[in-house]
Amino acid sequence: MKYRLLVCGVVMVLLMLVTVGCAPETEPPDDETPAPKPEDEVDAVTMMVGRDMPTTLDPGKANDVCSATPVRAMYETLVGYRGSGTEELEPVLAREWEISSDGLTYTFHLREGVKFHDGTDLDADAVKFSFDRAIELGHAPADIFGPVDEIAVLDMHMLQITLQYPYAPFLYTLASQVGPLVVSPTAVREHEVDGDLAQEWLHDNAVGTGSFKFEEWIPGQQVSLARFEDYWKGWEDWQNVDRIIIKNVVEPATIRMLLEKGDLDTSVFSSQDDWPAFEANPDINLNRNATLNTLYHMVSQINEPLDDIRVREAVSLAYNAQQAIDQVFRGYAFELRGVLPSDQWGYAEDLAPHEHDLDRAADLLKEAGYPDGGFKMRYGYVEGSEPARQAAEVLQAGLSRIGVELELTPMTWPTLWSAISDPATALDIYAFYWFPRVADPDNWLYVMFHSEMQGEAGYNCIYYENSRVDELLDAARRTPDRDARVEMYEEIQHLIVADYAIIPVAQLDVAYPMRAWVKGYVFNPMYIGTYNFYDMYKSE
Amino acid sequence: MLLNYIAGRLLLACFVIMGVLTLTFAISHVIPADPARAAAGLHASPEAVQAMRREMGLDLPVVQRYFMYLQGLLSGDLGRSIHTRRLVLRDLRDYFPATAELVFLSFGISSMLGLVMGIVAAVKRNTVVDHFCRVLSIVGVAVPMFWLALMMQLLFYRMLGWLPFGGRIADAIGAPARVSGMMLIDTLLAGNLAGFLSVLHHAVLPTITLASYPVAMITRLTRSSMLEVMTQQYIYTARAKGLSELIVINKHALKNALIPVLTVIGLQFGFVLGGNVVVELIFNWAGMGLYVVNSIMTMDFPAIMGCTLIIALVFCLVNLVVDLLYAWVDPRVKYG
Repeated sequence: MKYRLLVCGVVMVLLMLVTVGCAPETEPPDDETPAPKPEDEVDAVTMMVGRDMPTTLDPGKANDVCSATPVRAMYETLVGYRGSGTEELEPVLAREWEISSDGLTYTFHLREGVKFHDGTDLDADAVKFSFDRAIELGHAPADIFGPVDEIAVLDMHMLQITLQYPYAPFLYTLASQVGPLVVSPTAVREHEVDGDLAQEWLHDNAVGTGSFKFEEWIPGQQVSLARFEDYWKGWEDWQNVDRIIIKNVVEPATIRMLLEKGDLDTSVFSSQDDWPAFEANPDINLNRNATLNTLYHMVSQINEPLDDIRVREAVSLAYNAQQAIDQVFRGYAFELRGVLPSDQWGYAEDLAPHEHDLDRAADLLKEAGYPDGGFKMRYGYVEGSEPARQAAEVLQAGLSRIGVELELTPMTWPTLWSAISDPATALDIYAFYWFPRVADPDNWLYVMFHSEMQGEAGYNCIYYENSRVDELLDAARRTPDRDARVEMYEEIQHLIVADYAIIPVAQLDVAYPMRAWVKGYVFNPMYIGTYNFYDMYKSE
Repeated sequence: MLLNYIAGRLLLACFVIMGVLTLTFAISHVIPADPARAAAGLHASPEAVQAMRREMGLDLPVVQRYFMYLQGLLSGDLGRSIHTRRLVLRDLRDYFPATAELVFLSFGISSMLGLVMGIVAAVKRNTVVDHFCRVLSIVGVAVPMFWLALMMQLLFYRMLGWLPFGGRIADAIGAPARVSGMMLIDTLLAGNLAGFLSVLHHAVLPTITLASYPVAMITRLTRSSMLEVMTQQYIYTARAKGLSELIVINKHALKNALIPVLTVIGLQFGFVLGGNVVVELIFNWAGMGLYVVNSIMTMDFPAIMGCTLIIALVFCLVNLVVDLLYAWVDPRVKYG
């Protein structure tokens, strides 16, 4: 009997804990609230965003999309892409600019009356300081200033950037959402420790000119931003978002639940499996859009037997691109012909669709001395990338039908990079995603196919070498004449396709599911994974 | 004597930890990988990648890096994370308490519940209660944790709305002033009852999910161990002497049955510590699990070493506690 009482006692204690835990939460009395809260919290409208946490908030270091989500809200650039397009730029911190006829000198006239979050004023010194800081830190954002020779302050609101050589895409690089960001020099100097340019402090703090300012970063959990009331564009009544909370939610099933329940307003992540459900839900807008991001099977030009163009052509013919689009991406991707996505200016419209012909592939192998295939190749892809893996399986299946074995090897990105960046260990074929920094053909073609970009120098890790392509690439980036550039890039694309350097897989699209009460969102393929929070509002 | 034993075990633990660290260092540096490129970013120039390589110390010989790491370790410097760019010690200080809180909650509940269910199942052998406990334990072992987590989220958050989807505390309340990093403790220290209840509220789903497997294992083993002990002659003797069933079970059966169970409980701690990655991911519990996974995926050597150190240390301490408990349970075991 006493034994039963003991057991019951333990069980009751556990049940009590669970019951207390399951009890609905009540608002705490004011005197028990420990953390400071924004004023007028009862009426504050908060935008809840689901995505993973930033790597850093430092504008001189932030280089990934995770960091770009909060960073783009807090910092600004001199120019920006206009609306949803990628060809036209609009003034942001620079109200106008001139480019010299030789393409070497860029003069920017800055807006007046723009304030940083710490109350100090934006001027040309602040812009020069920010760019010099990024260059000195030497992280990825510094590459934007690679062509720069000098940054000069002409007067309080006039800045001049002189290039070492004409570089046609330069102005567009200044519209990147990470890299050319302007930070408050006052804040940097105030928090600098041992000459670190305030790296330690700016890792998880921010002082920019953006429409939202930094509030708090709870590691691993969320980043919260608050409206910057003195933002230079001003605020209208309809702009009712006072706070943005970026929650660390990455599990697609959880995201779907949160969106359907309305506890999340939008998310950068979602599973394609859930897209039909979102499309069918009247309370959620899927916001599916084509990006400029692309996926390829990169084919080695130096590994035997792929150094024989007939073998490369056979491999290409063995791949069923349409099957991949239909089954791997379930129709949620676009056909890719060649290197550039079809929305990118400079795309060669006359490129033929990818051909799938196993008979001809077998004939080519026979011609090349491999009558029944009979050789093995190694394929690498980044572990966890399901589309890459499945597209590789489509290639594997096609190759197996012509007697070629393709071994698929998942790797972490550092391991994959280590393998492909050294010609001695280069893989036969590997999956490669490209996310352009600039909406300019140079950002695909030069980096991936110029002979100077081989190995660790760039992303030409198939060790492609074509002197005509090099010549055209060099010429195209130097001339400001758009039509001439288009002509050159079209020829380059045909040459690359003719060399069977790549097997195009897909032009990718993305979807940022959003509750129907969120308005004002404008997608731009150069602002992937981020939002135009200033223009967004919530309304039933 | 006991103190001598503990001191000796702690000294041994140092050697174990050193061995684990050395092995981890060797393996992580033998794997052909270039974390500098990943850290520098997709569009980084070769110069930026090289600068990153220098910053990470990857341009130095492996042996030199190892001794530099040891030197730093002795002075409490675990290096700087490549991924977060913060001191590893600071990252661990931020993330470990959350994991510890969840692990201790899950471990405590799974041990208590597992023991009780195992004892009840053994005492009420072949009754409805026994069958119920056994079915529960089979389900706990068989059901994958990630599936259980999602199903519980679907049921209790999405459909019933009783519990939050995740996080550690309600946004409206906000995190308490940090003392230990474990919010249950920090809210109590701050006298914030609403905060304490909110943390408990948020901890229910992840705790139950994480405890499901250990509860099942402890239940099964406790039951079988109790059944074996309760068929011993001295149990019959104790009953024949007129002792109550409660005393027979608690004083004569349970302690003897606990010996193998303690071993399993210690091992289950390891499972709970490793299984929390999935739970933390799904329930947005900002702990060490995701930090470890990100470190491995980005070959963040300093973070990998830091996490290895913490996990090895915790394991050694838990094993020490389990070994000390043997002495309490079995009077034949003496230390010192």
